[in-house]
Amino acid sequence: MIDILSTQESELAIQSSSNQAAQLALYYAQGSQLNAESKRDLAQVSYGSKERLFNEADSLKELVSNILTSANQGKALVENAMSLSATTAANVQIASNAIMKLASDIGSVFSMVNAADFNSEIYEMANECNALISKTAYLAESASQISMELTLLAAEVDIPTLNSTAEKTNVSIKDLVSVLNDQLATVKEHLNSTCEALKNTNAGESQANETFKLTSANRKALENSLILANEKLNLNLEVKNQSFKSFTVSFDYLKEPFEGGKGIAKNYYILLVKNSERLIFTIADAEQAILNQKVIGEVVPSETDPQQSASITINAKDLIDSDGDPIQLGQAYAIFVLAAYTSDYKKAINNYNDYLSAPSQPFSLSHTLQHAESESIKLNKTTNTLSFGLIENTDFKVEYRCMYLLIDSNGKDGSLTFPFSTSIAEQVNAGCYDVAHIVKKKINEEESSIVGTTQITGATTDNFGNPLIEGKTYLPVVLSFCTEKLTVVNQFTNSLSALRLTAPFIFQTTK
Amino acid sequence: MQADKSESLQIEILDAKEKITRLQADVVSLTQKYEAFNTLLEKAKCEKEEAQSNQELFEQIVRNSHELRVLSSNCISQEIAMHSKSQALAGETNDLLNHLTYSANKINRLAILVTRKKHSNPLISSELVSMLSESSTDANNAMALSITACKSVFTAEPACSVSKSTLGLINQQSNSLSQQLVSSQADNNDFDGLSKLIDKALNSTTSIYEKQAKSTQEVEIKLSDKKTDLEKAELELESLQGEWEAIKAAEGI
Repeated sequence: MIDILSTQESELAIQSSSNQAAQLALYYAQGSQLNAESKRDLAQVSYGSKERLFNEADSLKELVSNILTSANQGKALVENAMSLSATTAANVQIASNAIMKLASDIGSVFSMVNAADFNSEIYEMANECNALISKTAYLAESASQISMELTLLAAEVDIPTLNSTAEKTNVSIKDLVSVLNDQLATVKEHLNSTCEALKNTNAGESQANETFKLTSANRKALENSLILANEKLNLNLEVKNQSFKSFTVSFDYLKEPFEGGKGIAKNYYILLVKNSERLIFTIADAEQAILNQKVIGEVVPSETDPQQSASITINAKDLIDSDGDPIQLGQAYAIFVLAAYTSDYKKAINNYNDYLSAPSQPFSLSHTLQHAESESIKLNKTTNTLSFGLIENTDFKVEYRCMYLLIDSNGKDGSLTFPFSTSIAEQVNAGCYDVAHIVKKKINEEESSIVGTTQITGATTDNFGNPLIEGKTYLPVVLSFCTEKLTVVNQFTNSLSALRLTAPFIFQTTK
Repeated sequence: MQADKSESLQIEILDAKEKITRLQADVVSLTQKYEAFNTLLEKAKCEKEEAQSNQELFEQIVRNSHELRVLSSNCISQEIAMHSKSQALAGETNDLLNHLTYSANKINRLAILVTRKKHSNPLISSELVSMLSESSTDANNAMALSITACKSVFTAEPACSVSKSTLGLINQQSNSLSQQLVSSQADNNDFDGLSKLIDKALNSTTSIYEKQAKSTQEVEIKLSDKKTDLEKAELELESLQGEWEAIKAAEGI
C-alpha cells in the first residue's frame, strides 16, 4: 500500500519539473511578446513621424514646380519684351533721325526766306513751320532718349539667374522628398517586420500558455491525489511551517476499524531521517533509534481528544537525526512516525509488531532571507532612484537585486502578464538587474535595518534585458539573494518582494 | 592538523571555483548586454546622421528659396521700372506723332504757297522751291518712320506689362514658399511645419544618440569591472591551488 505513495511522489516530481519548465517557457514567451510589442510601438511612432515629415516635404513639391513653370514662362516673356524694346529703340531712333533731317531742312528754308525778306505771308509761315518742327525735333530727341533707357532697363532684368535658381530649388526639394521617401519605405518595412514578429510571439505565447495550463492542471491533480493517499494511507502525516529554528509535524491517530474507532496506539514516536535514507529506513532502524533515544518527539494520545490527531512544533536547536547526527540547515530530511500499539490491541490481533508510517514529503530547514518591504519600495521621480527597506540578520551576506518588470499597459488591470517567482528571479542574469547600494544600521544584537538604493540610468534594463521605455509602466521587484560561500549557501532561501503589494511606476527619463 | 588544513583548503578551492563560474556567467551576460547596447548605439548614430543629412538638404532648400525671393523681388522692381518706362515712351511717342503730323501739314502748305507765289513773283528763288519740295518728301518719310516707331512702342508696352505680371506671380510664389517652409501644409494649424519637424528630428535623434553613448559607456565600465573581478578570482584560485599542491607534495615526502 505504501508503494502507492512513493509511485505517486515520483510521478508528481516528474510533473512538477515539466510544469516548472513550462512556466519558464511561458515566462520567456511572454517576455518576447512584451518585447515585440514595445518594438512594434516604437516602430509605429517612428513611422508616424517620418510619414508627417515626408507629407510636409511632398506637399511643397507642387508649389516649387509651379514656380519653375512660371519662371520658364517669365523667361520667354522677358526675352520677348527685351527684344521688342530693342526694336522699338531702333525704330524711334530712325524716326528721330528723319525728324532731325526735316528740322534741318526747314531751318535752311527759314534762313533763306528770312534773308530775302519775301512777302510777309511766306515769312510768317516759314517762321511758324520752323518753330513747330524745332519743338517736334526736341520731342523726338527725348523719345529717342527714353527708348534707349527702356532698352537698358530691359537688359538689366536678371531672368537667367532667377530661372536657374528656380531650377535649383526644384532639384533640392526633389532630392529631399526622394530621400524622405526612401527613409519612409525603410521604416515601413521595419514596422511590418515588427508586426510580423509580434504575431509570431503571440502564437508562441499562446502555445506556451496552453502547455503551462495543462501541466499545471496535471500537477494539481497529482498533488490532490497525493494528499488524499497520504491522508488515507499515511496518517495524513505532514511537515509544515519550517524555518531555520523550528518546524511543525502533524498526523492523525490510528483508530480501531470497528467499535466507534477507538485509539489503538499508546505512544507515537517522531523520527528525523536523512532524506537520502528515506527509502531504506525500516521498522528495525526505527526501533533501534527509539531504543537509543534518537527520537525528536513523543506523543501520548489522549482518549478524550476529540480531534484524535497531533500537531507539534519542534524546536530545531540541539536536534539529532535517527543516526544521531545534529540537524543541519540546508540538508533534506523526512519525518517517520512509529506508533506503538497498545498491548490490548496487540493481543487482540495477535501481532506484536508496531506500526511505522511512510516518510513525509522531504523538507529542509533554512534561513529564509527577508525581502524588501513592499510599501517601502519607492521610486524618487526627480532622480529616478529606487529605494527600499527591510530588517535582516546583521551577519548575513545578501545582495539585493533590483529588477523592473514591464507591465502590459494594454491589460485592463495593469497587472503582470507573465509568471514571475523567486526561482525565475534567481535566473535573471547579471545584465538585467542592478545591485542596490545598501546602508546597514544595527538595531539590536542580531538584526540591522537595511536601506537599499539604486539609480535607474540609461544602462538599466527590464528583466529581459531591454532598456526601459519612456512612458511605459514597470513594477519594481527586489530579490534578496544570498552571496554566502558554497558550503553554507544552501542554508539560505532567497526571497522576492511581494509583487502584488508593490506600486508600479511610469518610467520617465530625468531631464 | 595537516588533514584539517587540506580539507579547509579544498573547500576554499571549491568556493573559488564556484565564484569563478558565477563571475564568468556575469561576464557573458554583460558582454551580451554591451553588444546589444552597441547595436542600439550604431542605430542611434545612423538615425542622427540621417536627420543631419535631411537637415542639410533642407538648408539647401531654404537657401535656394531665399535666393529666389531676393532675385524675384529684384526682377519685379526692374520690371516695374521697365514697364513704366515703356508707358512713358508710349505717351511721348504719341505726342511726337501728333506734333509731327501738325508740323508736316504746315510744311506741305508752305511748299504749296511758295510754288503758287512763284508764278506771280519771279524773285522767289527756284532753290527755295526745290528745298521745300525736298522737305515735303522728308516730312512724309519722317511721318512713315514715326508711325512705324509708334507701332513698335505700342507692341513693346503690353509685352513689358505681361512679363511684369508673370514676375509678380513668381515673386508671390517665392514668398509663399518661404512661408510654407516654416508652417504646416496640413489642414490642422497646430502641426509643425517642415522646418520645425526637421529641427525636432535632429534634436531628438542627437539627444537619443548622446544618451545611448553614455549608457553604452556605463555598461562597458560595468563589464570591465566584472572582468577585473573575474581575473582576481582566477588569481585567488591559482594561489589556493598552489598551496594545495605544496601540501600534497609535503605529504608525499
